[in-house]
Amino acid sequence: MAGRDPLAPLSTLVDVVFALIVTFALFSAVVTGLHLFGKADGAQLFSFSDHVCVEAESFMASVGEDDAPAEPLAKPGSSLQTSGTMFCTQNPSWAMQWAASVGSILSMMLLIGACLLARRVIRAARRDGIFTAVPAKLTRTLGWFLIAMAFIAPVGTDIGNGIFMASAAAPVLELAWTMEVTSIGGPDWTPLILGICALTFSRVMYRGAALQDDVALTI
Amino acid sequence: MTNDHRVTVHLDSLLEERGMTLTELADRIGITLANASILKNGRARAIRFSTLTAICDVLQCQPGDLLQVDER
Repeated sequence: MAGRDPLAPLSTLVDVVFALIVTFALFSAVVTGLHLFGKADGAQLFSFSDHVCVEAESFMASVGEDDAPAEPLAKPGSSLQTSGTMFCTQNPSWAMQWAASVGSILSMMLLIGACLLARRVIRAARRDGIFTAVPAKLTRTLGWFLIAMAFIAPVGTDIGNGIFMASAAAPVLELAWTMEVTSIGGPDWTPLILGICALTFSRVMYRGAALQDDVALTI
Repeated sequence: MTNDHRVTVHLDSLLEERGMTLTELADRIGITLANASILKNGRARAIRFSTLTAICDVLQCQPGDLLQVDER
């Protein structure tokens, strides 16, 4: 076990994710190119499409009895509940497409940013050693990035969805874009926990760097 | 990096008295010239008993001849 490369699992994961991101970017470029030449009707990249739907979390439309299905969709003793209401728009404006895409774009930014920062940490750790100042500092940056995105991503998604729904909803609903923001369910827990882990490991690395200096200067 | 000790290493004067070079000392006690240089220039954080024993054997001295704690 002692001879194994401690960075190998993370390095492999980051390489795989990075390859997927590059593949996605190439695929997106092809789709965008085809769409520009009018050869990819119905294609969808994030929420850039001719038909865009966004699920509302702050607003739920009641379904009248006339709309209820003729036959029950759940077995006796079970019930079927819709989690939200979908607002769909045919031929949305660019602004609406951008608003609906904010969540996906922020998620992609989180993935790409975390991936690039993790690659920098791995490279620095391979060059200088794990318990040195530079990888420790980069790990700290990665931690703060993940923590920041854990809050920015859900808020940005809700703002984007709120703007889309405010544009799509009829005036009678009196939907303001802020309604979706005020219904925030909390941070994105996975990047938050990973960010705190990265910050903690960064502090361990700083402590290790000090010990490494002591060892190096013990004759 | 601040020094949190007042220990001075008198390796250079001992070497001069014995007419020995730092390279020769490093060879005889089995440490690298870089480490011997760190010790001589007072940049070492600590010295192992084994290294101290080897230096004292080669230079025929006592630890007190090599190390000194300066006044405050």
